[in-house]
Amino acid sequence: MSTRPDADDESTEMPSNVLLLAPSLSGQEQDVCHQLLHGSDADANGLLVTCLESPRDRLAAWTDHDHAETGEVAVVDVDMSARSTAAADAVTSLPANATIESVSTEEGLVDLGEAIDRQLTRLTATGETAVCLHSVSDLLQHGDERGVFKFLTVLTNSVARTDAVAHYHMNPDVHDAETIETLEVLFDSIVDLRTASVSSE
Amino acid sequence: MVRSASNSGLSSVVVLVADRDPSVTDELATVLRGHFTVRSAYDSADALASLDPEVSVALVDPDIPGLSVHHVIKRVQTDAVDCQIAALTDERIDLDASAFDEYLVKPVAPEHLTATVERLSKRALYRTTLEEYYQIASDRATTDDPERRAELERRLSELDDRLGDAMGGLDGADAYDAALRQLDVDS
Repeated sequence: MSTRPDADDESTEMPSNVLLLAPSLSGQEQDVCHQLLHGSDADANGLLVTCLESPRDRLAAWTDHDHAETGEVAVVDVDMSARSTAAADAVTSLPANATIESVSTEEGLVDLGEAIDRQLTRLTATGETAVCLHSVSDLLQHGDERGVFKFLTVLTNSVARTDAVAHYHMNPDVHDAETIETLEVLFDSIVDLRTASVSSE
Repeated sequence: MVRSASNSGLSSVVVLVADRDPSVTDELATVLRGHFTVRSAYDSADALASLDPEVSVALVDPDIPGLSVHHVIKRVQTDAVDCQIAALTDERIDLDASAFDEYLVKPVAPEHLTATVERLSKRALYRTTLEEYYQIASDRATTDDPERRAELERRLSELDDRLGDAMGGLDGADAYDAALRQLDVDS
């Protein structure tokens, strides 16, 4: 996997915050997401933040078919009023160790941040936790770059100080280069699926 | 724990106090002077004149004659005055439905007053540092000059440390609120 370490990253530890640049129709995105969620610890707890995709689809990305036992998983479902299918149907097939919390972005990103913080605090208290935010691109469609940047600054700092790991999906095809360059300073490392062959290195 | 050694940096924090009752203004200002740099204002014109970018925390009585909350908010929007505002009130208020960051019900116990202003000053510091961080990250993204870029990256690194320190005093939910609470960015 090709990563671009930011500045002075000399440790060999798993980076806390990874920006996952995955273009549209990238077949690798789901695999890499899964690796990042389970890479450090197959039994880790999961915190999945989803905007446009249904909680069911994100839970599918989380589910580890090789390990029957996984940690707890929480989905923070951001209601952007743009999803075509109702989210409620996902509840019927919810695994026993999963919870879903829905938040609206009508009031901006503060409510979302608080919901994520609640879940992150709860999950990190019980064990290692991996976070997946899907996606930065969806947040940018809803809010301005300044607000999303600040939101991600708080989130990446929270992840680092709770010793969690996190990755953040972003579709580089739908943003200009400046936006990506502005946001990239917030991450310890960047996985760019436009140029990377996941198996290399 | 209000009076700890780490409070020493707070003496440079500028706090504006404006109650409709001059004796209440004086009383609050006296308590706060032990910890912060305090400006007292006794009427609307005074309060607005004192509200400049140096002010981190403003304690304002919404019922001070001539000083509508609207004026204060307007001022915060237009003049790059990005301070935290607490209402000095006679009863509890619903913060979510108001433009205030916090409220203090009078009479205010000295310890509660000092602790609240300290917390708000941390929010203010976090908020302004974060805005600067964004500005520099944004500048870095648009510059082609390698030297300029390197300089901006040094500043980002410094600010990153300062942000970490500033966030240390806030819990997660408070950090999101301090970072993102918008009165109105569009105007």
